[in-house]
Amino acid sequence: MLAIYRLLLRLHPRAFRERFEEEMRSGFDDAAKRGRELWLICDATVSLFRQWVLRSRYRILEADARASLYDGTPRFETIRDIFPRPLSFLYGGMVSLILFAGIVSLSQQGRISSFPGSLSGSEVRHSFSGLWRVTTGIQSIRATPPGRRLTEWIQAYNSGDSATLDRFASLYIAKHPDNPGLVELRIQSWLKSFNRFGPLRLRSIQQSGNNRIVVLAQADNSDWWRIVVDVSSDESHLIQEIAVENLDYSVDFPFGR
Amino acid sequence: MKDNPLLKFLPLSPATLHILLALAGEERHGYGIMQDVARQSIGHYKLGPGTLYDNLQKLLDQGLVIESIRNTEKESRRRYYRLTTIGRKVLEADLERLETAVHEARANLRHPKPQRT
Repeated sequence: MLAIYRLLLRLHPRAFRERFEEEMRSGFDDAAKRGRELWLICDATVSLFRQWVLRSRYRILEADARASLYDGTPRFETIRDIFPRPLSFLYGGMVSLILFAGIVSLSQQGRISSFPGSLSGSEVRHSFSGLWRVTTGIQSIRATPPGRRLTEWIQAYNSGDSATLDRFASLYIAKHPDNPGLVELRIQSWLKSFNRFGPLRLRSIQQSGNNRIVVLAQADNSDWWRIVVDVSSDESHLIQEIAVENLDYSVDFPFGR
Repeated sequence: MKDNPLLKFLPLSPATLHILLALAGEERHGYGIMQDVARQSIGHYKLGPGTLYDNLQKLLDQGLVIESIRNTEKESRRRYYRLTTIGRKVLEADLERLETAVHEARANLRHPKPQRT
């Protein structure tokens, strides 16, 4: 109990500790004789909250003290007199990894997919791989058949021009015999999206093969879009399927603008 | 009345009032204040060290309480606190405020005003 109490006292702002720590410990010794340790620990916890949250003066004093010592060198700080054991870092790292693995695993199983702003497991994987590509500067679309078609589609989409999209569709999108009006409907939908969200900018390539490319793009309003293009394997490389999906993720996730 | 500099300290919080009351008679150390507060309130109000020293810090900053020095070896671990002149005036002003409130409350209880229908 005394160890917990001492720890709570040490977490108090320095100015407060320097003035009252000794007395509070003395008070604890007196009160402990009457079996009131638990009450004292609750009191110290409330005091800790009050000192940091309600008594901002101490934070300012501490900040001033730190600023006066600061010489411009980046550094880490620990609470004075508390020096974590080296093993603590190992344990902390292991716990962080286990928690991270657990969250990713739950996400992959779809158990927390409805969490606001969260991604599904595959999306998390794609996001990290995409982040890696952005970090390393690998963002350009490879000159594969679907890559070329996607580049041309983005140019046509970003023109915001109906005639340009019509021309693109007539040249590169395969006709659906069962639903001949589908292409026209899609063009209308793209124009509506363009007028509403603005041009798309490529942010990340998630998959790039000889017949399929999947990319993430971001619109002017920071919405994220996934674009999937499937092309035929013959020489014409016509677009068999093009899916443009608004991901409805939180702004600027996973990549800043 | 509006220019009274004591008004900025009023009303005192229950913890502050009890601490000042404990120091009104004599100077005390922290644990002594806690014991006296328990005695004043017949054990109904228990002041923990965290609450006590948080309020003492505030009172020291405001100049209502001052630390007094004791140099005996036995008392070296303990600091004593006492009221300043202004601390005493603030306590008196708050007690007067409470007396007025209590007087008015008693009068209202004795002679309740008829309810409007």
